[in-house]
Amino acid sequence: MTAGLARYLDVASRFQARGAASEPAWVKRVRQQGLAQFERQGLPTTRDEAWKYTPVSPIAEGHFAPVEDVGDTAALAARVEALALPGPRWVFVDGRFVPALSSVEGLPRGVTLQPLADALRDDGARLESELGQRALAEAHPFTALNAALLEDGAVLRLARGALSEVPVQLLFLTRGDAPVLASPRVVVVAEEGSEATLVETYASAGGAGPTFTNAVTEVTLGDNASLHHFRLQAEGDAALHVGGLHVRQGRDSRFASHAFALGAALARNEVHVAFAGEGGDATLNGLYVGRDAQHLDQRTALDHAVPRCSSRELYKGVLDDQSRGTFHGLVRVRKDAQRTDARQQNRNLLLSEKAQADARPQLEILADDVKCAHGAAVGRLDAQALFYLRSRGIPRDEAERLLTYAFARELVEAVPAGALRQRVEGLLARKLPGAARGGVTP
Amino acid sequence: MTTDTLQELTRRPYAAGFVSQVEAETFPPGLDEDVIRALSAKKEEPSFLLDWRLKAFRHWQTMREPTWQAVTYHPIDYQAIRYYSAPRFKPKKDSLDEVDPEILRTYEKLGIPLEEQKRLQNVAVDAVFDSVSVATTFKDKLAKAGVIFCSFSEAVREHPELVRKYLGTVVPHSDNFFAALNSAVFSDGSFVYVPKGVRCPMELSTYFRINAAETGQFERTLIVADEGAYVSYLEGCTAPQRDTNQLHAAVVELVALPGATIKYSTVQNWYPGDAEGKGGIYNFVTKRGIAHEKAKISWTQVETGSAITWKYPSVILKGDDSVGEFYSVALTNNLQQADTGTKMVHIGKNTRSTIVSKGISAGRGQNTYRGLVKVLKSAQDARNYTQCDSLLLGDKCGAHTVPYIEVKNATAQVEHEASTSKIGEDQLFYCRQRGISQEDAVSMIVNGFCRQVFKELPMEFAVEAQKLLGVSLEGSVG
Repeated sequence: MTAGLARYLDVASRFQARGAASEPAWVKRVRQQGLAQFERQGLPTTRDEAWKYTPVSPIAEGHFAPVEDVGDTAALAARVEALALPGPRWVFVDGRFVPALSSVEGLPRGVTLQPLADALRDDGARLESELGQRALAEAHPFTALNAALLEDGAVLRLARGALSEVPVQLLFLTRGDAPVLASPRVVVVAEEGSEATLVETYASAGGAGPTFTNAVTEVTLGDNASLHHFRLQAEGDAALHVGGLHVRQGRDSRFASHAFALGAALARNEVHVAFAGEGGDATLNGLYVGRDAQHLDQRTALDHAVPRCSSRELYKGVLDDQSRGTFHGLVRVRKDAQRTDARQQNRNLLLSEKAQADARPQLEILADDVKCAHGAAVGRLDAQALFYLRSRGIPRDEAERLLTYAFARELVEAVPAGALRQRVEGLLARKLPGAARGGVTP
Repeated sequence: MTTDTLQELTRRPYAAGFVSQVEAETFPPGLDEDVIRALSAKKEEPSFLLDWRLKAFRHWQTMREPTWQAVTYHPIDYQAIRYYSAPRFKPKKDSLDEVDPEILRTYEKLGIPLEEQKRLQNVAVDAVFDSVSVATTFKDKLAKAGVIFCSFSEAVREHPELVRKYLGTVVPHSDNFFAALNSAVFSDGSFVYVPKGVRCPMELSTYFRINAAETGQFERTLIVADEGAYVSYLEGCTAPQRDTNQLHAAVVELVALPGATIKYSTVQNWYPGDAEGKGGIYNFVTKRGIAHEKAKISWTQVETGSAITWKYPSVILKGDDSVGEFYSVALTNNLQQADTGTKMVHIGKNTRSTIVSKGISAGRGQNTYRGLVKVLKSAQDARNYTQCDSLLLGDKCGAHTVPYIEVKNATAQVEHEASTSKIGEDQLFYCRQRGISQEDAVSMIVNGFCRQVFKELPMEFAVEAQKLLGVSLEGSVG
C-alpha cells in the first residue's frame, strides 16, 4: 500500500470514528462500504487506463483532511456576493453547508432543497434508495472516497411537473488556509415532467494554500424531465479538484451539461450519462482553459443503453503556457440501442510551444442501426485568419486574442443569455487573454 | 435482404482450408532454453543470434500477456506449441525442382504457382511453409540489381553483418510479450535489402502458410531500404481448417534510411474459425517501421482472416520530412475479433502521417480500431490526418474506435474523424432498381467503402483483396 493511500484511509477511518452515535445505521454503512471500496481500488496511477494522462501525485502526496468545524465565515460574505447570481443560493464552505451565507428565497413551489446532513438524519427511508445509486463507489476510487467521507451536500427535489425558472445555485468555497478535503455530495431527483436549472460553482476563498475538493453529484431524471446543469470550476491556483457528475435519464428526458474548467492546479471533471428510457436527449458541453502549469482533465461517458436516444457532445480546450488538457470521451451504444444518434467533437487550441493536449474520443458500438460520429483535432490559430486580421491593421496580439475568444465563444453562447452567461463571461475574462485585455466582451 | 440469404452467404466455406500431406520434421511441444538452443543449432546460426534469442527468452519469462486489447480468447498454453516444424527436404536447395512437389501443389492450389511466377508475373515470391522458407523466385534478376531477397535463415548465413546491424533495431527483443516470444523462437521469414539509390525492379512477395497442427508460426521479416531506395513488398497468409487454435506471432521490422520508400502490403487470410468460433488462427503481430530523413513508409493491410487479429503496424517518423501512411481494411465475420490500428510517432520536423481505417463487422464479429498519434516536442509542424469509418452489417456485431492523440508541440495539426453506419436502405434500393442483385449491390457498396484502401494495393493484390472481401461477407446485411 502506498503512503498516500494509507494516509487517506487513516483520515477516513478517523472521520468515521467521530460520527455521532445517533446517526442512522445505513449512513454508517454507506461510509464503511465507501472506505472498503476505496481501499480495494486504491489511488489511481497512470498505469490505469482511465488515468493514463493524469498523474494524481499531488493528491496522493497532500495531507488533506475534512474540517471538523467551519468556524467563523462572516468574512466570506463579500466573496459570496461577488460570485453568486441573484436568486436562491446555497453556500458551502470547506464542504459544509453554511446557512448564514445562504438564501433560499424564491424557490418555486414543488422545488425543495435540503442540506444533505439534515436529509441523512430525517429523510432516511427515501434517501437511502437514492444515494449512491448513480455514482457507484465500486466503479470509481474517488466516488468511493467521497462516500467514505459522506457528511454534507444538498438534496434537490423537483416534484412532478415542477418548474423552476430561476436557477438553483450551489456555491462551494474552499479556504486555502488549511489543507482542506471537501467531499460534497449533491443528490438531484427530478420527477416526471419537471424542469430546472442547477448551477454548481466551485471557487477558493481566504488563503492560497492547497485544498482538495472531491465532489460527487447524482442526478435522476424522471420521464420527460429536463435539467440544465452548469458547473463552473474556478478554484485557485493551488487547488486540486475531482468532480463527478452522474446522470440517469428517463424516457423522453432532456439533460444538458455545461462544464467550464478554469481553475485549480489539477482538475478532473467527469460526466457520466446513462439513458434508461427511450427518446432521451443529452447535450454535453465543455470548455477547459489552462495556463501556467495547470492540468485539466475531462472525462465523459455516454451510455446509450436503450433505443432512440440522441447525444451531442462538444468539448473545447484552450491551452496556454505549460498547461495540459486531456479529453477522454466514451460513447457506448449497447446491443439493442437501435436508432441511436450520437455525435462527439473535441477540439484543442494550443497557444504556446509548451502546452500539451491529449484526446481520446472513443466509440463502442454494438447496434447496427445507428448514426455515430466523433472527431478530434489539435492545432494552433489559423495562420490565414491571423493574416487576414493583421492585413486590416489589427496588431498581432489583438488578433490572436480575438481568434482565441472566437474559438471559445461557441460554448459561452450555449449558455442562455442573462446573468448566468455574464457570470461565465466574467470568469472567462480572467482566463482568456482575448477577453481580459482586448475588451472584446460585448 | 432476407436473413436466409444473409446466412447462406456468410457461411461460405474457407477455400484455403485444406491440409497438405507433407512429411515434416517437428520438435516436440514445449519451450525452454534447450528448445531455443536446438532450434538455433538446427539452423546453424552464429552465436550472436543465439545469445539474442536467449536474452529475449529470459526477458519474455518476466513478462505477462497483455490484457488491454478488446478481444477474448482461450488462454494460450505456450508449452503445448511445437516451436519448429519444417517440411523434410534437402536442406539447401538450388532450384524449385528440389522442393517437395506436394508443397508446390499446395501453393498452386492457393493460386501462387511458384513455377509460373518465373515466366508470367513480375513478382518475386518467397514462400514460407510452416516455419521455414521453401522457395524464393527471381533471385538472379534481383541479384543483378543488387537487391537481396531471401529467407531470413539464408540472410543469417550469407549476410550476417546486415542482419546483426539491423535486427531488433526497430522492434527490440523486449518490446512486448509477443514480440519477445518471437525474438526467442522465430524460425524463418523474409529478408530484404535494397542498396543505395536502387529502385527494386519488381514487387517482392512472401506467402505464409501454416500447415502442421499444434505448431505456431513465428516468422520475422526485416526490410532495409538504403538511402534513396524503393521497394514494394507484399505478404499473404493462409492456414488449414482445424478445430484448435493456432498461434501466429510474427514480427516485421522496416528500416527506411534517408530518402528511401518502403511500401508494405498485407492480405491476411488466416483461417478464421468456423461459424461457431471453433478453431482459427490467433494472430498477434508486431509490425513497425522507422523512417529516417525524407523517408516514407506506407502500410496497407486487408485483414479478413484469423479468429483474433492483434496488430498495429506503426511508423516512427524519426527523420525530418519523413512520411508515414496506414491504410487498413479489417473485416470480422462470425465470431472473429479484430483489434487493430496503428501508431504514428512524430519525432522529426515536418513529419506527416495519414491514417485511413475501414472496419467492417458482420455476424457476431467485433472490430476495434486502436490507434495512437503522438507528436513529440521536437516535431515542429507535424501533420496528421486520421479517418476511421466503421460499417456494421447486422445487429449482433460491434464496432469500436479507440484513438489516442497526444500532442506536445503547438505547431502540430492533428485531425481525427470517425463515423459508424450501416448500408443505407436507399443505397440498396438504388442498386436493386437498376437490376443489380442484392448480393452484388452489397458487395459493390462494401467495395466502395474500402476503395480508398484498395487503391493503395498493388494491382494483383487489389483484385485478390476484393474477391476475398466478397467471399468473406457477401450479403451480410440484415
